Amino acid sequence: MKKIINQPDDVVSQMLDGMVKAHPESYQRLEGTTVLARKNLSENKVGIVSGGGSGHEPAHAGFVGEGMLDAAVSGEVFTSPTPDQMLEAIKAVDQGAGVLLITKNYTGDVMNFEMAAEMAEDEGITVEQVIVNDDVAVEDSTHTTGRRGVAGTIFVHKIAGAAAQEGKTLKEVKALADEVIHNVRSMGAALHPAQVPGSGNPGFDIKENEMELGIGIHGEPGMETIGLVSADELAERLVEEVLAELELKQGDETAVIVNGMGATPLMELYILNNRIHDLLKEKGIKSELTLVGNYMTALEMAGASLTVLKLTNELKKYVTNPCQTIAWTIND
Amino acid sequence: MFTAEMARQWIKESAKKIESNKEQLTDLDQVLGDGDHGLNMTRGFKAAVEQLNEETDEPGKVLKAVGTSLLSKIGGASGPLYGTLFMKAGNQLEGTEVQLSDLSSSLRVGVDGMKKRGKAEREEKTMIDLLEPVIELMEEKGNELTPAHLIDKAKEALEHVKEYEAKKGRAAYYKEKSKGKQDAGAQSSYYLIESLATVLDKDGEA
Repeated sequence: MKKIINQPDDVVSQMLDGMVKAHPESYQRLEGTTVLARKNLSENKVGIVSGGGSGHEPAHAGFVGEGMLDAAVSGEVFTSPTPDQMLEAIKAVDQGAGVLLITKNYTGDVMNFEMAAEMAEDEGITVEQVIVNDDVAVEDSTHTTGRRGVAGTIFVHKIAGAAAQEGKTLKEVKALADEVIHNVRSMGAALHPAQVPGSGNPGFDIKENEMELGIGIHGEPGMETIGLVSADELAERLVEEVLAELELKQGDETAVIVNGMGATPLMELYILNNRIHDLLKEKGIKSELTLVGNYMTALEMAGASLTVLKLTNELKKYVTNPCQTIAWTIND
Repeated sequence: MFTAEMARQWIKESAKKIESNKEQLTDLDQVLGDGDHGLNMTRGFKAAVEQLNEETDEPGKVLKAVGTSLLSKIGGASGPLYGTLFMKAGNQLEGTEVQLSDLSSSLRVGVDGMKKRGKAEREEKTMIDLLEPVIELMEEKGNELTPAHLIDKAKEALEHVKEYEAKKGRAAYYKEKSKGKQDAGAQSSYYLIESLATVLDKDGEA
């Protein structure tokens, strides 16, 4: 597959340098690491660190900035970053008020973040961890690793970041992040798979007249393969699956992400949102905030996911107040 | 005896085996996981070989440093798991006069650490299904262990792993469909044991 890269081994490092060169006023790359951190840290604030494999841009580094993350740690493509890198991020953003780690529920991410948290505690830094598991496509049970963390993670970044910015304690920020995780659900569908740079094969096989429903963000399998449906039909299926797990009633308020997987044009995402918005309205559900675009991608995977966050008054305040990041800015 | 030089040879041999089977590991992982096991393991073991301390005569120190190196280079789930195995086992081995029975008990501590880290038990289609039966055999044979013992047990375990249903990691999303397919982690663990057997064989006395 054709890609604009140099050596496959260099993609993450060169991407990070490219990001810093595009935004030198807001970012710094910690020397010798894959950590992008805010240039100006707010004093006495709980630090917020997120991370994961690369290939999900703008997640995670695109959400570093005032009101969201203080640092993001990038692993190899679709591979969890290592604990020593996370430890550097934790140390860099700790202001004495402790650090919250935001992890998506993938086995490698969870294990590496846990080890990083243990190493940080050994150095006297208080660390809390939340694990995002918003994907309704895979069931939660004791026999599997549970639901995956996908685009709902963006709302966890936003709300935890806003609460930290306001001066809440580590305990309070963690409690809010857990509340977001409890109230957020997502599901995605793919038309074409992603391909890891340097690997000869696409992540999965899919025919021209098929789509994969319930995909994750790495090319792991979906829930089922279905025939290609129209945007409206896809909207109906996604809304149905996501709402089934949220216990929403008439008059409830939500925040929505119609997320592109990387290779889907905005035109198609807006067409999808057109029907999603109407479906929610027909059910009497208010969408207080709608994001349409690429937020949690999977390289050149074509497809989209729907994320719905059920809002409380407190969550509504934090999800809509100002933030300044490359990928999501809300002005005063 | 298990010397520091043998520990170094074990890691060099493992790195060689993993590198030459990189594509097989990646292909296995592409079926049940996310297709990066070969790449990640090759990167990790290459780094482990590069940092090998040629000075020390304590095998425990060699293995511990290998663990740290794997942890910081592999990433994914395999980094913490193999990192834990070698760090814990290395911590356990003291001094220069290390017997095969000491190696077995240190690897036992390492594997118990992996189980705890990965919250995994036997028969969940993971590295544990390859490593734990081999270590049980090592404990049973003590200083009488031969390279042939290791290889036979590892081959037998590898065949069993294939038939289990995956309960951990990304492979778990496949449920029953995972049966009959090989686990990439169990396969890479097999190469570690095969390499250990090669090193013991070369030593001549085991």
